[in-house]
Amino acid sequence: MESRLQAVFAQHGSHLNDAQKSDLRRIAAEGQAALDRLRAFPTDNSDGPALYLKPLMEREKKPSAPASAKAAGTPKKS
Amino acid sequence: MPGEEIFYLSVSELAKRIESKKLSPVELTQLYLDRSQKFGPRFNAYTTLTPEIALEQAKVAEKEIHRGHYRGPLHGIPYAAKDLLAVKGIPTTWGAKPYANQVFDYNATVIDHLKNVGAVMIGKASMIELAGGSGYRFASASLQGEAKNPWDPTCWTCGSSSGSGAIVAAGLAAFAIGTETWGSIICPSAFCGISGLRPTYGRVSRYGAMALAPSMDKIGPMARSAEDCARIFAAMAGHDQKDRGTIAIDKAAFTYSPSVESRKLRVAWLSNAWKSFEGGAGKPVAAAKASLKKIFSDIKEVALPVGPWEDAASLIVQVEAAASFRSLIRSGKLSELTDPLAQILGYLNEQYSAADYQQALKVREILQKKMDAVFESFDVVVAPSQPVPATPLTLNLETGLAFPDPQGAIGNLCGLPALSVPCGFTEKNLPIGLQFMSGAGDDIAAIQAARTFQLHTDWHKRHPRIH
Repeated sequence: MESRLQAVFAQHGSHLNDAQKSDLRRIAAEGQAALDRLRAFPTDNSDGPALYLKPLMEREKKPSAPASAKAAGTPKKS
Repeated sequence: MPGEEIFYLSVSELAKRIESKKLSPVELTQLYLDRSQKFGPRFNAYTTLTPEIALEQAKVAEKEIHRGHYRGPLHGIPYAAKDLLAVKGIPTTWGAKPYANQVFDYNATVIDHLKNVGAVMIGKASMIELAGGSGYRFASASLQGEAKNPWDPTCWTCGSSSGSGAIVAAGLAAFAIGTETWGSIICPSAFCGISGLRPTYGRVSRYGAMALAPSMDKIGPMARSAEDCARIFAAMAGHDQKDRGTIAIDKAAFTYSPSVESRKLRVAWLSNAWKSFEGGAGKPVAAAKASLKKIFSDIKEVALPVGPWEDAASLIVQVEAAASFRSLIRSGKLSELTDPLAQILGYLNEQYSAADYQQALKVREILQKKMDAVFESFDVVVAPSQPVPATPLTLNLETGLAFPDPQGAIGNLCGLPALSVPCGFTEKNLPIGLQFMSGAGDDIAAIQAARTFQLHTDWHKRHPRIH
Protein backbone atom coordinates (compact mmCIF):
# COMPACT_ATOMS: atom_id res chain seq x y z
CA MET A 1 0.00 0.00 0.00
CA GLU A 2 2.73 2.43 1.00
CA SER A 3 4.67 1.82 -2.20
CA ARG A 4 1.58 2.61 -4.28
CA LEU A 5 1.03 5.82 -2.36
CA GLN A 6 4.64 6.87 -2.68
CA ALA A 7 4.46 6.23 -6.42
CA VAL A 8 1.38 8.47 -6.64
CA PHE A 9 3.03 11.22 -4.61
CA ALA A 10 6.23 11.00 -6.64
CA GLN A 11 4.41 11.21 -9.97
CA HIS A 12 1.50 13.48 -9.15
CA GLY A 13 2.35 15.11 -5.84
CA SER A 14 2.46 18.54 -7.43
CA HIS A 15 -1.23 18.22 -8.30
CA LEU A 16 -2.26 17.21 -4.78
CA ASN A 17 -2.72 19.27 -1.65
CA ASP A 18 -2.22 17.86 1.85
CA ALA A 19 -5.91 17.11 2.34
CA GLN A 20 -6.02 15.17 -0.92
CA LYS A 21 -2.88 13.23 0.00
CA SER A 22 -4.46 12.38 3.31
CA ASP A 23 -7.66 11.33 1.54
CA LEU A 24 -5.68 9.08 -0.80
CA ARG A 25 -3.91 7.50 2.16
CA ARG A 26 -7.28 6.71 3.78
CA ILE A 27 -8.69 5.30 0.55
CA ALA A 28 -5.63 3.14 -0.03
CA ALA A 29 -5.79 1.83 3.53
CA GLU A 30 -9.49 1.05 3.24
CA GLY A 31 -8.95 -0.69 -0.09
CA GLN A 32 -6.16 -2.89 1.18
CA ALA A 33 -8.57 -5.40 2.73
CA ALA A 34 -10.27 -5.94 -0.64
CA LEU A 35 -6.90 -6.46 -2.28
CA ASP A 36 -5.89 -8.93 0.42
CA ARG A 37 -9.11 -10.91 -0.04
CA LEU A 38 -8.57 -11.05 -3.76
CA ARG A 39 -4.95 -12.15 -3.40
CA ALA A 40 -5.93 -14.84 -0.90
CA PHE A 41 -8.52 -16.42 -3.17
CA PRO A 42 -7.09 -19.76 -4.33
CA THR A 43 -6.33 -19.89 -8.03
CA ASP A 44 -4.27 -22.50 -9.83
CA ASN A 45 -1.59 -22.09 -12.40
CA SER A 46 -4.02 -23.69 -14.84
CA ASP A 47 -6.85 -21.23 -14.17
CA GLY A 48 -7.22 -19.16 -17.28
CA PRO A 49 -7.64 -15.43 -16.93
CA ALA A 50 -10.66 -13.98 -18.67
CA LEU A 51 -8.33 -11.66 -20.54
CA TYR A 52 -11.20 -10.24 -22.53
CA LEU A 53 -14.61 -11.07 -21.22
CA LYS A 54 -16.24 -13.76 -23.26
CA PRO A 55 -19.63 -14.57 -21.83
CA LEU A 56 -20.17 -18.30 -21.69
CA MET A 57 -23.02 -19.04 -24.03
CA GLU A 58 -25.07 -22.15 -24.41
CA ARG A 59 -23.81 -23.15 -27.81
CA GLU A 60 -20.20 -22.66 -26.75
CA LYS A 61 -20.67 -24.71 -23.62
CA LYS A 62 -22.30 -27.63 -25.36
CA PRO A 63 -21.05 -28.02 -28.91
CA SER A 64 -23.25 -30.42 -30.78
CA ALA A 65 -21.65 -33.75 -31.45
CA PRO A 66 -20.58 -34.44 -35.02
CA ALA A 67 -23.16 -36.36 -37.03
CA SER A 68 -20.77 -39.26 -37.52
CA ALA A 69 -20.32 -39.65 -33.77
CA LYS A 70 -24.07 -39.73 -33.24
CA ALA A 71 -24.47 -42.28 -35.97
CA ALA A 72 -21.88 -44.49 -34.33
CA GLY A 73 -23.93 -44.47 -31.16
CA THR A 74 -21.17 -43.01 -29.01
CA PRO A 75 -22.31 -43.37 -25.41
CA LYS A 76 -22.70 -40.24 -23.32
CA LYS A 77 -19.77 -39.09 -21.23
CA SER A 78 -17.36 -40.94 -23.46
CA MET B 1 -52.87 20.34 -26.67
CA PRO B 2 -52.83 16.70 -25.59
CA GLY B 3 -52.91 15.76 -21.94
CA GLU B 4 -49.89 14.77 -19.92
CA GLU B 5 -50.58 11.07 -20.48
CA ILE B 6 -49.16 11.14 -24.00
CA PHE B 7 -45.70 11.75 -22.54
CA TYR B 8 -45.95 8.49 -20.61
CA LEU B 9 -47.20 6.25 -23.38
CA SER B 10 -44.98 3.28 -24.06
CA VAL B 11 -43.04 2.95 -27.28
CA SER B 12 -45.41 0.17 -28.29
CA GLU B 13 -48.46 2.40 -27.76
CA LEU B 14 -46.89 5.38 -29.52
CA ALA B 15 -45.86 3.14 -32.41
CA LYS B 16 -49.43 1.96 -32.97
CA ARG B 17 -50.64 5.55 -33.23
CA ILE B 18 -47.78 6.58 -35.48
CA GLU B 19 -48.13 3.60 -37.81
CA SER B 20 -51.86 4.23 -38.13
CA LYS B 21 -51.11 7.91 -38.81
CA LYS B 22 -53.15 9.03 -35.80
CA LEU B 23 -50.05 10.63 -34.32
CA SER B 24 -47.59 12.79 -36.20
CA PRO B 25 -43.87 12.17 -35.44
CA VAL B 26 -43.23 15.88 -35.97
CA GLU B 27 -45.93 16.91 -33.51
CA LEU B 28 -44.81 14.28 -31.00
CA THR B 29 -41.21 15.43 -31.29
CA GLN B 30 -42.17 19.07 -30.84
CA LEU B 31 -44.23 18.15 -27.76
CA TYR B 32 -41.32 16.30 -26.19
CA LEU B 33 -38.90 19.12 -27.11
CA ASP B 34 -41.17 21.72 -25.51
CA ARG B 35 -41.55 19.61 -22.39
CA SER B 36 -37.81 18.94 -22.26
CA GLN B 37 -37.04 22.66 -22.58
CA LYS B 38 -39.50 23.41 -19.81
CA PHE B 39 -38.68 20.65 -17.34
CA GLY B 40 -35.24 19.37 -18.35
CA PRO B 41 -33.37 22.07 -16.40
CA ARG B 42 -35.44 21.35 -13.28
CA PHE B 43 -33.95 17.87 -13.12
CA ASN B 44 -30.55 18.65 -14.73
CA ALA B 45 -31.57 15.97 -17.17
CA TYR B 46 -29.88 17.05 -20.38
CA THR B 47 -26.44 18.12 -21.49
CA THR B 48 -27.76 19.37 -24.80
CA LEU B 49 -31.08 19.44 -26.57
CA THR B 50 -30.81 18.84 -30.31
CA PRO B 51 -33.99 20.33 -31.79
CA GLU B 52 -32.52 20.72 -35.29
CA ILE B 53 -31.55 17.06 -35.53
CA ALA B 54 -34.80 15.99 -33.90
CA LEU B 55 -37.11 17.92 -36.17
CA GLU B 56 -35.17 16.95 -39.27
CA GLN B 57 -35.35 13.26 -38.33
CA ALA B 58 -39.02 13.58 -37.37
CA LYS B 59 -39.88 15.19 -40.73
CA VAL B 60 -38.09 12.41 -42.58
CA ALA B 61 -39.96 9.82 -40.51
CA GLU B 62 -43.28 11.49 -41.19
CA LYS B 63 -42.68 11.61 -44.92
CA GLU B 64 -41.61 7.97 -45.03
CA ILE B 65 -44.64 6.82 -43.06
CA HIS B 66 -46.99 8.80 -45.26
CA ARG B 67 -45.41 7.13 -48.27
CA GLY B 68 -46.09 3.77 -46.70
CA HIS B 69 -42.49 3.05 -45.71
CA TYR B 70 -42.91 2.21 -42.03
CA ARG B 71 -39.61 1.10 -40.53
CA GLY B 72 -40.96 -0.48 -37.35
CA PRO B 73 -41.79 0.30 -33.74
CA LEU B 74 -39.14 2.99 -33.21
CA HIS B 75 -40.01 4.93 -36.36
CA GLY B 76 -40.73 8.54 -35.36
CA ILE B 77 -40.18 7.87 -31.64
CA PRO B 78 -38.17 10.54 -29.74
CA TYR B 79 -35.32 9.43 -27.48
CA ALA B 80 -32.31 10.82 -25.60
CA ALA B 81 -28.76 9.41 -25.72
CA LYS B 82 -26.39 9.39 -22.76
CA ASP B 83 -23.74 12.02 -23.37
CA LEU B 84 -20.93 9.52 -23.77
CA LEU B 85 -22.22 8.42 -27.17
CA ALA B 86 -20.63 10.26 -30.05
CA VAL B 87 -22.98 12.20 -32.28
CA LYS B 88 -21.37 13.84 -35.26
CA GLY B 89 -20.98 17.59 -34.85
CA ILE B 90 -22.65 17.75 -31.42
CA PRO B 91 -20.67 18.16 -28.17
CA THR B 92 -20.07 14.87 -26.40
CA THR B 93 -18.90 15.90 -22.96
CA TRP B 94 -18.68 12.58 -21.08
CA GLY B 95 -20.27 14.65 -18.30
CA ALA B 96 -16.88 16.11 -17.47
CA LYS B 97 -15.41 19.59 -17.66
CA PRO B 98 -12.13 18.54 -19.35
CA TYR B 99 -14.23 17.26 -22.27
CA ALA B 100 -16.86 20.01 -22.27
CA ASN B 101 -15.97 21.09 -25.82
CA GLN B 102 -15.27 17.66 -27.28
CA VAL B 103 -16.88 17.10 -30.69
CA PHE B 104 -16.59 13.94 -32.78
CA ASP B 105 -16.93 13.78 -36.54
CA TYR B 106 -18.73 10.46 -36.53
CA ASN B 107 -21.68 8.76 -34.87
CA ALA B 108 -21.53 5.95 -32.35
CA THR B 109 -22.79 2.71 -33.88
CA VAL B 110 -25.79 2.76 -31.54
CA ILE B 111 -26.77 6.22 -32.77
CA ASP B 112 -26.57 5.02 -36.37
CA HIS B 113 -28.60 1.90 -35.59
CA LEU B 114 -31.35 4.00 -34.00
CA LYS B 115 -31.25 6.43 -36.91
CA ASN B 116 -31.62 3.54 -39.33
CA VAL B 117 -34.86 2.40 -37.71
CA GLY B 118 -36.22 5.95 -37.77
CA ALA B 119 -35.87 6.90 -34.10
CA VAL B 120 -35.63 10.64 -33.40
CA MET B 121 -32.81 11.92 -31.19
CA ILE B 122 -33.96 14.93 -29.19
CA GLY B 123 -30.93 15.41 -26.96
CA LYS B 124 -27.94 14.17 -25.00
CA ALA B 125 -28.67 13.02 -21.48
CA SER B 126 -26.58 14.27 -18.57
CA MET B 127 -24.41 11.77 -16.72
CA ILE B 128 -21.92 11.33 -13.92
CA GLU B 129 -18.52 12.62 -15.03
CA LEU B 130 -16.60 9.93 -16.89
CA ALA B 131 -19.45 7.59 -15.85
CA GLY B 132 -17.70 7.35 -12.52
CA GLY B 133 -14.41 6.29 -14.08
CA SER B 134 -12.40 8.12 -11.45
CA GLY B 135 -14.88 7.41 -8.66
CA TYR B 136 -17.32 9.88 -7.13
CA ARG B 137 -18.53 10.79 -3.71
CA PHE B 138 -21.56 12.97 -4.40
CA ALA B 139 -24.53 13.08 -6.79
CA SER B 140 -23.21 16.45 -7.96
CA ALA B 141 -20.32 14.73 -9.78
CA SER B 142 -21.43 15.96 -13.17
CA LEU B 143 -20.85 18.83 -15.53
CA GLN B 144 -24.61 19.48 -15.33
CA GLY B 145 -24.89 19.22 -11.56
CA GLU B 146 -26.82 16.59 -9.65
CA ALA B 147 -29.61 14.86 -11.56
CA LYS B 148 -32.81 15.28 -9.57
CA ASN B 149 -35.31 12.47 -9.28
CA PRO B 150 -38.70 13.35 -10.82
CA TRP B 151 -40.43 11.40 -8.01
CA ASP B 152 -38.79 13.65 -5.43
CA PRO B 153 -36.38 16.37 -6.60
CA THR B 154 -34.60 16.32 -3.23
CA CYS B 155 -33.46 12.81 -4.12
CA TRP B 156 -30.96 11.53 -6.67
CA THR B 157 -31.64 9.51 -9.81
CA CYS B 158 -28.60 7.27 -9.16
CA GLY B 159 -25.82 7.12 -11.72
CA SER B 160 -24.10 7.09 -13.96
CA SER B 161 -26.96 7.13 -16.48
CA SER B 162 -28.53 9.79 -14.30
CA GLY B 163 -30.01 12.05 -16.97
CA SER B 164 -31.35 9.06 -18.88
CA GLY B 165 -33.26 8.00 -15.76
CA ALA B 166 -34.65 11.48 -15.13
CA ILE B 167 -35.69 11.94 -18.77
CA VAL B 168 -37.73 8.74 -18.95
CA ALA B 169 -39.25 9.17 -15.49
CA ALA B 170 -40.27 12.79 -16.16
CA GLY B 171 -41.77 11.96 -19.57
CA LEU B 172 -39.27 14.11 -21.46
CA ALA B 173 -38.69 11.42 -24.10
CA ALA B 174 -40.17 8.03 -24.86
CA PHE B 175 -36.94 6.26 -24.02
CA ALA B 176 -33.27 6.89 -23.37
CA ILE B 177 -30.00 5.08 -23.89
CA GLY B 178 -27.84 4.36 -20.88
CA THR B 179 -24.64 2.46 -20.25
CA GLU B 180 -23.55 0.18 -17.47
CA THR B 181 -20.15 -0.93 -16.28
CA TRP B 182 -21.44 -1.75 -12.81
CA GLY B 183 -24.95 -0.61 -11.86
CA SER B 184 -25.35 2.40 -14.14
CA ILE B 185 -28.51 1.19 -15.90
CA ILE B 186 -30.00 -0.98 -13.18
CA CYS B 187 -29.71 1.54 -10.33
CA PRO B 188 -31.10 4.63 -12.14
CA SER B 189 -33.94 2.49 -13.50
CA ALA B 190 -34.78 1.35 -9.97
CA PHE B 191 -34.48 4.80 -8.38
CA CYS B 192 -36.52 6.43 -11.16
CA GLY B 193 -39.28 3.82 -11.38
CA ILE B 194 -38.61 2.86 -15.00
CA SER B 195 -37.59 -0.27 -16.89
CA GLY B 196 -33.93 -0.67 -17.87
CA LEU B 197 -32.14 -3.47 -19.70
CA ARG B 198 -28.46 -4.26 -19.29
CA PRO B 199 -27.83 -6.57 -22.25
CA THR B 200 -25.36 -9.42 -22.39
CA TYR B 201 -21.84 -8.05 -22.75
CA GLY B 202 -20.92 -7.81 -26.40
CA ARG B 203 -24.39 -7.77 -27.93
CA VAL B 204 -24.40 -3.99 -28.43
CA SER B 205 -21.47 -2.24 -30.08
CA ARG B 206 -19.60 0.33 -27.98
CA TYR B 207 -17.99 1.95 -31.01
CA GLY B 208 -18.20 5.69 -30.47
CA ALA B 209 -18.98 5.30 -26.78
CA MET B 210 -16.61 6.50 -24.08
CA ALA B 211 -14.56 3.59 -22.78
CA LEU B 212 -14.49 3.20 -19.02
CA ALA B 213 -13.65 -0.44 -18.36
CA PRO B 214 -13.73 -2.03 -21.82
CA SER B 215 -14.11 -5.57 -20.53
CA MET B 216 -17.25 -4.59 -18.63
CA ASP B 217 -18.85 -1.65 -20.51
CA LYS B 218 -22.33 -2.26 -21.94
CA ILE B 219 -25.01 -0.11 -23.58
CA GLY B 220 -28.73 -0.61 -23.04
CA PRO B 221 -32.19 0.94 -23.22
CA MET B 222 -34.12 2.64 -20.42
CA ALA B 223 -37.84 2.87 -21.10
CA ARG B 224 -41.37 2.39 -19.78
CA SER B 225 -41.68 -1.37 -19.94
CA ALA B 226 -39.77 -4.59 -20.48
CA GLU B 227 -41.42 -4.89 -23.86
CA ASP B 228 -40.18 -1.43 -24.88
CA CYS B 229 -36.68 -2.36 -23.74
CA ALA B 230 -36.83 -5.50 -25.89
CA ARG B 231 -37.91 -3.56 -28.96
CA ILE B 232 -35.19 -0.94 -28.50
CA PHE B 233 -32.57 -3.61 -27.77
CA ALA B 234 -33.54 -5.35 -31.02
CA ALA B 235 -32.67 -2.17 -32.91
CA MET B 236 -29.34 -1.73 -31.10
CA ALA B 237 -27.98 -5.26 -30.96
CA GLY B 238 -25.60 -6.80 -33.44
CA HIS B 239 -22.01 -7.62 -34.20
CA ASP B 240 -19.83 -4.66 -35.18
CA GLN B 241 -16.39 -5.00 -36.71
CA LYS B 242 -15.55 -1.63 -35.19
CA ASP B 243 -15.99 -3.00 -31.66
CA ARG B 244 -13.87 -6.11 -31.12
CA GLY B 245 -15.80 -6.74 -27.92
CA THR B 246 -18.97 -7.59 -29.81
CA ILE B 247 -19.77 -11.26 -30.04
CA ALA B 248 -20.32 -13.23 -33.23
CA ILE B 249 -22.98 -12.19 -35.71
CA ASP B 250 -25.37 -15.05 -35.00
CA LYS B 251 -25.14 -14.56 -31.23
CA ALA B 252 -25.18 -10.76 -31.07
CA ALA B 253 -28.30 -10.14 -33.13
CA PHE B 254 -31.64 -9.97 -31.34
CA THR B 255 -35.09 -10.04 -32.83
CA TYR B 256 -38.16 -9.52 -30.73
CA SER B 257 -41.82 -10.21 -30.82
CA PRO B 258 -43.87 -11.00 -27.71
CA SER B 259 -44.78 -14.27 -29.42
CA VAL B 260 -41.19 -15.53 -29.02
CA GLU B 261 -41.77 -15.60 -25.25
CA SER B 262 -43.05 -19.13 -25.18
CA ARG B 263 -40.67 -20.82 -22.73
CA LYS B 264 -41.76 -22.10 -19.37
CA LEU B 265 -39.19 -20.28 -17.32
CA ARG B 266 -37.44 -21.75 -14.32
CA VAL B 267 -37.31 -18.80 -11.95
CA ALA B 268 -35.47 -18.47 -8.64
CA TRP B 269 -35.45 -15.80 -5.97
CA LEU B 270 -31.94 -14.79 -4.91
CA SER B 271 -31.75 -15.37 -1.18
CA ASN B 272 -28.49 -13.50 -0.57
CA ALA B 273 -28.55 -10.52 -2.92
CA TRP B 274 -28.84 -7.97 -0.11
CA LYS B 275 -28.15 -8.13 3.59
CA SER B 276 -30.96 -5.77 4.61
CA PHE B 277 -33.39 -3.21 3.30
CA GLU B 278 -33.55 0.42 4.35
CA GLY B 279 -35.52 3.55 3.66
CA GLY B 280 -38.83 1.71 3.61
CA ALA B 281 -37.80 -0.66 0.81
CA GLY B 282 -38.54 -3.82 2.81
CA LYS B 283 -42.32 -3.62 2.61
CA PRO B 284 -42.68 -3.23 -1.18
CA VAL B 285 -39.98 -5.88 -1.68
CA ALA B 286 -41.95 -8.35 0.46
CA ALA B 287 -45.10 -7.57 -1.51
CA ALA B 288 -43.25 -8.00 -4.81
CA LYS B 289 -41.90 -11.35 -3.68
CA ALA B 290 -45.42 -12.46 -2.83
CA SER B 291 -46.59 -11.36 -6.29
CA LEU B 292 -43.78 -13.32 -7.90
CA LYS B 293 -44.89 -16.45 -6.08
CA LYS B 294 -48.34 -16.07 -7.57
CA ILE B 295 -47.07 -15.30 -11.07
CA PHE B 296 -44.36 -17.98 -11.13
CA SER B 297 -45.98 -20.66 -9.00
CA ASP B 298 -42.96 -22.96 -8.95
CA ILE B 299 -40.44 -20.27 -8.07
CA LYS B 300 -37.51 -21.60 -6.04
CA GLU B 301 -34.78 -19.95 -3.98
CA VAL B 302 -31.11 -19.96 -4.85
CA ALA B 303 -28.04 -18.32 -3.37
CA LEU B 304 -25.34 -16.54 -5.30
CA PRO B 305 -21.91 -18.12 -4.96
CA VAL B 306 -19.78 -16.51 -2.28
CA GLY B 307 -16.33 -15.14 -3.07
CA PRO B 308 -14.33 -11.98 -3.64
CA TRP B 309 -16.38 -11.04 -6.69
CA GLU B 310 -16.82 -7.40 -5.72
CA ASP B 311 -13.12 -7.10 -4.99
CA ALA B 312 -12.31 -8.52 -8.42
CA ALA B 313 -14.88 -6.33 -10.16
CA SER B 314 -13.62 -3.21 -8.38
CA LEU B 315 -10.02 -3.91 -9.29
CA ILE B 316 -10.83 -4.59 -12.93
CA VAL B 317 -12.87 -1.39 -13.21
CA GLN B 318 -10.20 0.69 -11.48
CA VAL B 319 -7.30 -0.67 -13.53
CA GLU B 320 -9.11 -0.48 -16.86
CA ALA B 321 -10.40 3.01 -16.04
CA ALA B 322 -6.86 4.11 -15.27
CA ALA B 323 -5.85 2.93 -18.74
CA SER B 324 -8.92 4.47 -20.40
CA PHE B 325 -8.26 7.89 -18.84
CA ARG B 326 -4.48 7.67 -18.84
CA SER B 327 -3.94 10.91 -20.73
CA LEU B 328 -6.26 12.79 -18.39
CA ILE B 329 -4.55 11.34 -15.31
CA ARG B 330 -1.06 12.02 -16.64
CA SER B 331 -1.97 15.58 -17.60
CA GLY B 332 -2.96 16.38 -14.05
CA LYS B 333 -6.38 17.50 -15.26
CA LEU B 334 -8.22 15.24 -12.85
CA SER B 335 -8.33 18.39 -10.77
CA GLU B 336 -10.80 19.83 -13.30
CA LEU B 337 -13.34 17.19 -12.41
CA THR B 338 -16.14 18.26 -10.10
CA ASP B 339 -16.12 15.59 -7.45
CA PRO B 340 -13.49 15.51 -4.69
CA LEU B 341 -13.03 11.75 -5.02
CA ALA B 342 -12.89 11.88 -8.82
CA GLN B 343 -10.12 14.49 -8.54
CA ILE B 344 -7.76 12.01 -6.89
CA LEU B 345 -8.80 8.37 -7.30
CA GLY B 346 -7.46 8.03 -10.84
CA TYR B 347 -3.93 8.53 -9.53
CA LEU B 348 -4.29 5.55 -7.20
CA ASN B 349 -5.99 3.44 -9.85
CA GLU B 350 -2.81 3.58 -11.94
CA GLN B 351 -0.78 1.87 -9.26
CA TYR B 352 -2.28 -1.61 -9.06
CA SER B 353 0.05 -4.39 -10.15
CA ALA B 354 -0.41 -6.45 -13.28
CA ALA B 355 -0.32 -9.56 -11.10
CA ASP B 356 -3.29 -8.34 -9.06
CA TYR B 357 -5.20 -7.52 -12.25
CA GLN B 358 -4.42 -10.97 -13.62
CA GLN B 359 -5.63 -12.53 -10.36
CA ALA B 360 -8.90 -10.63 -10.74
CA LEU B 361 -9.28 -11.99 -14.26
CA LYS B 362 -8.68 -15.54 -13.03
CA VAL B 363 -11.32 -15.02 -10.34
CA ARG B 364 -13.68 -13.80 -13.06
CA GLU B 365 -13.16 -17.00 -15.07
CA ILE B 366 -13.88 -19.12 -11.98
CA LEU B 367 -17.00 -17.08 -11.26
CA GLN B 368 -18.25 -17.44 -14.82
CA LYS B 369 -18.20 -21.22 -14.41
CA LYS B 370 -20.00 -21.01 -11.06
CA MET B 371 -22.74 -18.83 -12.56
CA ASP B 372 -22.93 -21.14 -15.51
CA ALA B 373 -23.86 -23.87 -13.05
CA VAL B 374 -26.58 -21.66 -11.52
CA PHE B 375 -28.11 -21.15 -14.95
CA GLU B 376 -28.07 -24.89 -15.61
CA SER B 377 -30.85 -25.09 -13.00
CA PHE B 378 -32.63 -21.79 -13.56
CA ASP B 379 -33.38 -19.53 -16.50
CA VAL B 380 -33.86 -16.37 -14.46
CA VAL B 381 -32.86 -15.26 -10.99
CA VAL B 382 -34.73 -12.39 -9.33
CA ALA B 383 -33.91 -9.97 -6.55
CA PRO B 384 -34.56 -6.34 -5.66
CA SER B 385 -32.49 -4.06 -7.90
CA GLN B 386 -31.34 -2.03 -4.88
CA PRO B 387 -31.94 -2.43 -1.13
CA VAL B 388 -32.89 1.23 -0.79
CA PRO B 389 -35.08 3.78 -2.60
CA ALA B 390 -33.65 6.95 -4.12
CA THR B 391 -31.19 8.61 -1.75
CA PRO B 392 -30.92 12.30 -0.79
CA LEU B 393 -28.99 14.51 -3.21
CA THR B 394 -26.48 15.45 -0.54
CA LEU B 395 -25.66 11.91 0.62
CA ASN B 396 -21.98 10.95 0.79
CA LEU B 397 -22.16 7.98 -1.57
CA GLU B 398 -18.79 6.65 -0.46
CA THR B 399 -20.35 5.79 2.88
CA GLY B 400 -24.10 5.99 2.28
CA LEU B 401 -24.31 3.70 -0.77
CA ALA B 402 -21.43 1.44 0.18
CA PHE B 403 -23.40 -1.72 0.97
CA PRO B 404 -22.22 -4.99 -0.60
CA ASP B 405 -23.58 -5.60 -4.09
CA PRO B 406 -22.66 -9.17 -5.05
CA GLN B 407 -25.47 -9.32 -7.60
CA GLY B 408 -24.18 -6.29 -9.47
CA ALA B 409 -20.59 -7.46 -9.26
CA ILE B 410 -21.42 -10.95 -10.49
CA GLY B 411 -23.75 -9.81 -13.24
CA ASN B 412 -21.28 -7.33 -14.62
CA LEU B 413 -18.16 -9.46 -14.17
CA CYS B 414 -19.82 -12.27 -16.12
CA GLY B 415 -21.51 -10.02 -18.67
CA LEU B 416 -24.97 -11.31 -17.74
CA PRO B 417 -28.14 -9.59 -18.94
CA ALA B 418 -30.51 -8.07 -16.39
CA LEU B 419 -33.70 -6.07 -16.54
CA SER B 420 -34.89 -3.83 -13.72
CA VAL B 421 -38.59 -3.02 -13.51
CA PRO B 422 -40.61 -1.11 -10.91
CA CYS B 423 -42.19 -3.38 -8.29
CA GLY B 424 -43.70 -1.02 -5.73
CA PHE B 425 -43.30 2.21 -3.81
CA THR B 426 -42.22 3.20 -0.33
CA GLU B 427 -44.51 5.14 1.98
CA LYS B 428 -42.72 8.29 0.77
CA ASN B 429 -43.79 7.40 -2.78
CA LEU B 430 -40.31 6.47 -4.00
CA PRO B 431 -40.10 3.59 -6.49
CA ILE B 432 -38.44 0.25 -5.80
CA GLY B 433 -37.09 -1.99 -8.56
CA LEU B 434 -36.92 -5.70 -9.16
CA GLN B 435 -34.04 -7.14 -11.17
CA PHE B 436 -34.44 -10.18 -13.45
CA MET B 437 -31.07 -11.65 -14.43
CA SER B 438 -30.47 -14.49 -16.88
CA GLY B 439 -27.60 -16.41 -18.43
CA ALA B 440 -25.20 -14.90 -20.93
CA GLY B 441 -26.85 -14.59 -24.32
CA ASP B 442 -30.25 -15.48 -22.87
CA ASP B 443 -31.49 -11.88 -22.71
CA ILE B 444 -34.90 -13.05 -23.85
CA ALA B 445 -35.38 -15.01 -20.60
CA ALA B 446 -34.90 -11.89 -18.45
CA ILE B 447 -37.15 -9.94 -20.81
CA GLN B 448 -39.87 -12.59 -20.78
CA ALA B 449 -39.83 -12.86 -16.99
CA ALA B 450 -39.92 -9.09 -16.49
CA ARG B 451 -42.66 -8.68 -19.07
CA THR B 452 -44.68 -11.44 -17.44
CA PHE B 453 -44.34 -9.60 -14.13
CA GLN B 454 -45.55 -6.41 -15.82
CA LEU B 455 -48.53 -8.20 -17.37
CA HIS B 456 -49.67 -8.94 -13.81
CA THR B 457 -48.79 -5.61 -12.19
CA ASP B 458 -49.15 -1.92 -13.04
CA TRP B 459 -46.21 -0.35 -11.22
CA HIS B 460 -44.58 0.50 -14.54
CA LYS B 461 -47.61 2.53 -15.58
CA ARG B 462 -47.28 4.95 -12.68
CA HIS B 463 -45.45 8.20 -13.14
CA PRO B 464 -44.70 11.30 -11.14
CA ARG B 465 -46.85 14.40 -11.51
CA ILE B 466 -44.77 17.12 -13.12
CA HIS B 467 -46.18 20.65 -13.12
